[in-house]
Amino acid sequence: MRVTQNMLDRDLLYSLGRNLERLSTLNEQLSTGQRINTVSDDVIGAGQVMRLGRENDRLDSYTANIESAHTMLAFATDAIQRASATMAQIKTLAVQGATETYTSTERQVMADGVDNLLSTLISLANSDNSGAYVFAGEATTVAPYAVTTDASGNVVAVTYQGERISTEAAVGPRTTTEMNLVGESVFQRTGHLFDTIVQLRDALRASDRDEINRLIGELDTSHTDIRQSLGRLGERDNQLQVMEATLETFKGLNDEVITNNQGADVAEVAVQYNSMMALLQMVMKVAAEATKPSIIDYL
Amino acid sequence: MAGFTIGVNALRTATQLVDLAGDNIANANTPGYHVKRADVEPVIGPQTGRSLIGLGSSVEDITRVRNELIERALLTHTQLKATLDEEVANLEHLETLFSEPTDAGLDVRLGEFFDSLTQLAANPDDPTLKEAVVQKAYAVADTFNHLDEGFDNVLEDLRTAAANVVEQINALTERIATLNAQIKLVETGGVSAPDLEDMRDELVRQLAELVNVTVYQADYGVVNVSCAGTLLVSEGQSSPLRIAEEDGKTYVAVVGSVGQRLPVREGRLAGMLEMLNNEVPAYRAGLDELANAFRHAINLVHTTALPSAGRFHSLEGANALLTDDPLGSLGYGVIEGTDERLVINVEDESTGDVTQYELTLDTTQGGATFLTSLRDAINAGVPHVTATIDDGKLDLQAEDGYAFGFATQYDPDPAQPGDISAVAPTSPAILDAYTGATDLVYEVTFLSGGEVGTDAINIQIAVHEPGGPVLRTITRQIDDTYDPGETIQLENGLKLTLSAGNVAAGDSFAFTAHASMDTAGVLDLLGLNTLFDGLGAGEIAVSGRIYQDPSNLAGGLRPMSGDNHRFLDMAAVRSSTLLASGTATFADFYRAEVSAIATARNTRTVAQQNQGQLLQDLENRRDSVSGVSVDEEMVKIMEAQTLYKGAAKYISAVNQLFSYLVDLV
Repeated sequence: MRVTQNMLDRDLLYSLGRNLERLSTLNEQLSTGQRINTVSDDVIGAGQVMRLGRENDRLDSYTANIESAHTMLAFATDAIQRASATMAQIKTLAVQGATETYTSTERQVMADGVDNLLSTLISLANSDNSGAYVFAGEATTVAPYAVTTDASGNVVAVTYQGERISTEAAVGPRTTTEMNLVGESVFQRTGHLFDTIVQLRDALRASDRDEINRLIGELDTSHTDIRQSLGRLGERDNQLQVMEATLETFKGLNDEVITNNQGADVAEVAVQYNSMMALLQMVMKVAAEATKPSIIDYL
Repeated sequence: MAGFTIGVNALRTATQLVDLAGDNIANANTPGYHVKRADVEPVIGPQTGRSLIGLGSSVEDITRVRNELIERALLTHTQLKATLDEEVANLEHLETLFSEPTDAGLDVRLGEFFDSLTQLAANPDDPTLKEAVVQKAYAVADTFNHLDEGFDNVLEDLRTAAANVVEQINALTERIATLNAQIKLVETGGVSAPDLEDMRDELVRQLAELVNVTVYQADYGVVNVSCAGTLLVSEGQSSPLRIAEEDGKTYVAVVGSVGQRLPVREGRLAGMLEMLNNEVPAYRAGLDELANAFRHAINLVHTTALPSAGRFHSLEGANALLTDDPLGSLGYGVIEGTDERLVINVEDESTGDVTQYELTLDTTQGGATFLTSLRDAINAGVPHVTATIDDGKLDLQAEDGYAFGFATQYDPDPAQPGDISAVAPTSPAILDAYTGATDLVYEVTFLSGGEVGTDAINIQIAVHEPGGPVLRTITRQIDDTYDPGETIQLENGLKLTLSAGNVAAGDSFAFTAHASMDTAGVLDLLGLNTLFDGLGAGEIAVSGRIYQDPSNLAGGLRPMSGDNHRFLDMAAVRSSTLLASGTATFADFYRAEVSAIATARNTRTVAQQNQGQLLQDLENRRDSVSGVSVDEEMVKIMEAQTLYKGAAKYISAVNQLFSYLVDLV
């Protein structure tokens, strides 16, 4: 075949161009540390990276909801624990009041004590966590327990006016949890907490020891309600922690796939880059030094 | 004896050959140059006696060395490569526009919006989270707008570029025609015009990069150039092209022709027109479809929800219906039907009592007609709410002390005065989200009477479709363990509560639970209580009343601060397969769109590389035939030198001969 100078030049330029193109791809991978920089780098891989990336963002929003539920539970648990302690104090007073050794005057003092503790209990049941009532179910802006007083300011009735259903939010792909609590099922599951205490106060005032003895039993029922609520909330908190750990595991697995897909194997790319560089240098050197010998050299 | 003539002819031939070699060497790198060879022929002399001795040699013509087949193949593949070059460049541009997979793409924006809704659902009354949702919604709309603007720019750039290419084509065909005329002038004189031909053929090659051309060789070195059957150059005449638009499509026609389109198939112009008329509009339509489906799906939920402030005192429609185009054709995804429903709840704020008014809509009407009939239907059928039309937009206004909404799917306090006939009657209430798929009527009957929370009371609930037979009967019993206000589970998410009080045996009440408050999606069309407004990716925006006041964000079914049912529904829209005939979620659809662009780019890049390689081979083959080899030319020079030397010696010999003769005289 007849060979002319232009053909040699063109071949050289073409292969130089191809090599430089590959070098620039490797360079981009090295500088970003990523194998997929545009979707066309790997259409299927990029789709997977996008899908799993969004999946992880979604898992993050569940984790945020779990955090929020944790905060609410911690707040509620604290209030219920204090309520339980208050109940213990009320019971101590009731047991004392049931004893013969105290006079009715002393029972009046005890009754005042019970009345104060009742107020404490009501304010605990009406606790609000930065503006949102925790024990009101969905009606987070309404104090769940309304108090009726008589002319002299004594509490005569405490009624629940919160909602009977609570706000459910997602904490996992198919898991929801309550973001607030229905006060009735926390404080008055089986017993009639507030009614019992109002009756106890009145019985102390009336020095009715039989009635006081009966109410001690009722108090125990309510106290058990509260302790059981504490247990349930603790259990729920544990479940949330397990959920959180599961979400973390899912995220870790997704991250692994994302890294495998998107991340460049820097060591491998660096080796390729070096060998490409060496090749390029060689081509240039040969091109510069070993241009085709021409007849002109021999004339 | 013709001695000197032969010598002079030989000297002239030799110098011409040296000149030709020099010319070839000088043009070794000139684009489109073909190596030239001299046509050296003997000069016929007069007959002297019986012998015929020539008068030496002369250069009769100078012609180009070229292989017609290779030249034609080169032209064809130049066109193919140029088409692909143009398409790859534009697809690359489109791919950059979407900037995936990064944190700046629509995929992330959509994901963040839904994630923010999931978080708001956990604390539905939290103003910070509401603000976050509105900001994420804004980012989604903004990204859609930005992509749409990007498409606009790409199309505008393509239009400008196509117009430029057409101008270049016209300039090229004009020059080709001029050169044709010059070549013809020279060649009718009987000699070739190789340099002019090279110049012209290089212009034809440049033309082939822009548009598909076929070259027809005519007499006297002239070529005629046609594009898809239309002559662009006919000898010395060129036909200029013009660019025109029709029905949103750009096409090319010959100036002076009426409506006749030139079917441009290859070349950069073809690549541009393909992008301009087919590819880019198709991707853009996909994006618009995505934006509309997204707006529609979110709005269907949002329009039938209540903000935490409760029901509305007034609402202004965001969209105007000024013409009588059919509702279904407006792009709002309205379902057309003559028996569509819109349920309006009207609340008496002094008592909290809610009454439901069900309107039957005919959505097969034209826009303006529908609007008027809806206004009249509301004014006639919904007490305490006034509808007015302002500039084609529907405004709703409640009387003082009343409020309206489209959220609660049932009458929450269904018992009418007298339904419970006992003294000190209990008041029944209905709770929570109705999850049924059809409208159902629940007829609640107390089979036995007594005091709620004390006596055993049997409750029977008959379920039927409006106007239909009883489908099933549910029975519930309460006794002294029932705490007034406790929830009694019915079905489909519905719960019943009974307050302290009495009922009599046989007392009953009924309520209707609506599967959809707005079966045709007219609230989205009217822009009443929408989260997003605007059609298509270019117009979609967060509705003004929500952007300005995020507390207007609606997510409740009942006016209750902790009610998050509609926020949950909105977050669930992410996983509904609403696109591609019910097979793709928003994210699936979007990723498929981005992948389609990337795949188109990759496929074409491979083809482009193959064409590049092919073109490279063809160019080498052409250079193998027509290229200048400096070595070869040097040898030619040496040959000519020898010829010259010989001729000079010959002249000297002839001179010697003549001098002998002169000496004799």
